[in-house]
Formats: sequence, C-alpha cells, structure tokens
Amino acid sequence: MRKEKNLGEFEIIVLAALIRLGTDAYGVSIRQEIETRTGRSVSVGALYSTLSRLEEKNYVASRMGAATAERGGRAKRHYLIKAEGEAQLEKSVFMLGKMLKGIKAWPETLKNLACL
Amino acid sequence: MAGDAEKFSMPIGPPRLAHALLTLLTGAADKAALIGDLEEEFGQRSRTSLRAARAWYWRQASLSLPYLLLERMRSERVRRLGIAVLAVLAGFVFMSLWEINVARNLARGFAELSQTPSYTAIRVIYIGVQMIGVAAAGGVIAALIFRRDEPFLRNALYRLTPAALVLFAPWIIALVNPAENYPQSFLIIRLSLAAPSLVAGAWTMSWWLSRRAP
Repeated sequence: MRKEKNLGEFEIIVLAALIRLGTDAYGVSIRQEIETRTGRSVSVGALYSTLSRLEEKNYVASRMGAATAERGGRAKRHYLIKAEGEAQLEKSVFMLGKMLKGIKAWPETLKNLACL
Repeated sequence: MAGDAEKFSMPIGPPRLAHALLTLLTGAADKAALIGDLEEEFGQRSRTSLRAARAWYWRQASLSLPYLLLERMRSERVRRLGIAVLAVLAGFVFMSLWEINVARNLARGFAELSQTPSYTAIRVIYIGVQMIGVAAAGGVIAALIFRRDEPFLRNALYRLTPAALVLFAPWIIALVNPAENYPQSFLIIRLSLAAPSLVAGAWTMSWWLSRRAP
C-alpha cells in the first residue's frame, strides 16, 4: 500500500494558489497570489523548496516555459496541480475542518465554508 | 527628480552579492526559474523605487538562503558527502581509541611474546585483519563520494587522500610521539601497508560500481 503523504500548512496554501492560478501558475504569480490573499510574506526559497517537495510527492507537475528578456533571458517554470494533489488537498482541508468544528465561535466567513 | 538622482547614485541591477549567493546556493534544477522570478519582480519594483527594489531583493535572498541550503542538503550527492565526512570522523575517533587503549597494550603483549614462535604469526594476523578493515573503509569512501564520471586517479587524489589523512592521523601522531615499549617498526609496517590497502579497496569498489552501471 502506498504511504500517505500528508500536507503541511504552507503546502496547503501553495496547492490552493495553484488551483486559483490554473495555467498561469509560476514562481512570481504564486508568490504574489499568496501574499495578496494571506498577507503573509513569502520568500522564493521557501516557495521553491515547497514546490520541489510537492513534486516529489507527485502532487504537482512542472514544465519549463520560454525564456524572456525581462527575466534576464531565463525561462519560467510553470506549475500545475495533479489529480493526486487535489485529492490530498481536499482530504487535508476536510480533516482540518472536522478537527476545528465546534471548537469556538469562528468568524462568519469561516462558518460559511462547507467543511466547517 | 528624486528617482533620477537615485538611479545615478546606485547600480541599476539587483545587488551583486545577493545575486551571487543565490546563484551559488540554488540547485541546478531551479536556478533559471528562481533567479528569473527574482529578476522579473525586481524589474517591476525598480520602476517605482530602485532603492526599495534592492532592499526587497536582499530581503528575499536572506530569507531564502536557509531554505536553499536545506534543499541542497537534501540532494543525494550532498547527503552522501555528509555521510562520508561523518563516517571518516567516526573512523578517526575509533582508530584513536584503538591506538590508545588496544594497540599499545597489544604491542606490549607482543614484546613479551617475542621470545616465542607464535609472536610473528600473531603480528601477521593482527596486521592482516586490520588491512581488511582499511580496504573496506576505502570501498565505503569510494561508494559514497567518488564521482562516477571522473577517472580513478582524480577521485583518489581529491576525495580519497583527504579522508586517508584523517583516518591515518592517529597512526601518524603515534609515529611522531613514540610510546614506551611500542615498536615503531610495527607502526611503519602498518602505515606502509594501509595506504595501498585503502587504495585497493577504493579501486575494487569503483570497478564493481562501474560494472553495475547501465
């Protein structure tokens, strides 16, 4: 049986960003999406380290794009969440929701989430 | 106007030192993408303020370095190197303890036995067993840190020699600081046999690994 590869908090955030960005997901857009939505500062090192781990876990696929002048002639690496990644994300969020349900009065926005 | 003055007073590109550190520490697989991302965002930010963009670049570099270092340590080659360094240091500690606690007592015992015919036989067996161990150590070093794409001599010079110097340091120290009743000739024989044994072990392992390679 395949060993379960659970997700950490930042991995959940990155996978959610990949779903939001779709085919436009690459380093800069993922970082900016996370910073805009969470208000959390993200370093490129942390992001690439997490993406590399998610790729190893087979939750994310990547491909190199074309080189552009504004990037000093360097290519973008585009990321896409795989079906396994989506399933694991759903599972992690569901588990988290079950653990948090009923603990305290959550803000209205969180109460509206299906899993809570 | 202020923006113009700023541009004249500092270089236009990202900070060179931060850029060099990131280039050095980023693994080959992510290098183009990561450095390119930083350059793209630096370009966007520098249109507003070059100073702020450079500060942002430095902040990104300093926050990223621990992750990049950890990422490098996760790579197979660096992990092997780490294991090899730890194994060689463990070997050094073992051989030092052996030299102080066992070998010197054995040598004194041999000296007492020297009048009997079994003396030479015990010495030969002792050295033989030790050389098998040294050859095995050479094999382990070759398996862990030798580069498959480089010839044996180059590997032996750059990778085996430093390890050998650490491993044989206790013997060399004992040779320089002779103890009472401890025959120096015994040490010289061991040292002169150990070097070829280590190389033989490493060469055998390299040969075996090259045969296994597809």
